[in-house]
Amino acid sequence: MQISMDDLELPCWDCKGSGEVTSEEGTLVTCDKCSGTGVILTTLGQTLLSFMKKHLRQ
Amino acid sequence: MADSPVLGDYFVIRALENGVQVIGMTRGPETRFHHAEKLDKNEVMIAQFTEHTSAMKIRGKALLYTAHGVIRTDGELNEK
Ligand SMILES: [Zn+2]
Repeated sequence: MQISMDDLELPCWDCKGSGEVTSEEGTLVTCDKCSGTGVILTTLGQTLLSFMKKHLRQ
Repeated sequence: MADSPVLGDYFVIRALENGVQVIGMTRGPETRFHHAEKLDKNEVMIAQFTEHTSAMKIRGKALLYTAHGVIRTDGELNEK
């Protein structure tokens, strides 16, 4: 099974992956749709991340 | 919505092209994107509204089968 990056995460629609959006005052602020990360994880991405977290702790 | 998340409304998304994006939005005062999915052509996703997801955004050519009928995201009326 091959996994590509867009199987794991997709760029945020609001900030287009930058993690920042322009506020009403015209300043750059953290995008709250993605909490500033710029990406949204897929089910596969979330599964892989929790698997890694679990086994890295051990 | 029903009390049990198992009984919540659901709908079917059928991708008509590669790279259709589905983004789930959180329920509550702040709508964040909490989940994304990429569908390739002819992949089908059955999505349900739950205690965590109150809205979904879909980008790309897809057919949505809902309780309100069939919706094509590219605006064409007839299937195929
Ligand atoms: Zn964002």
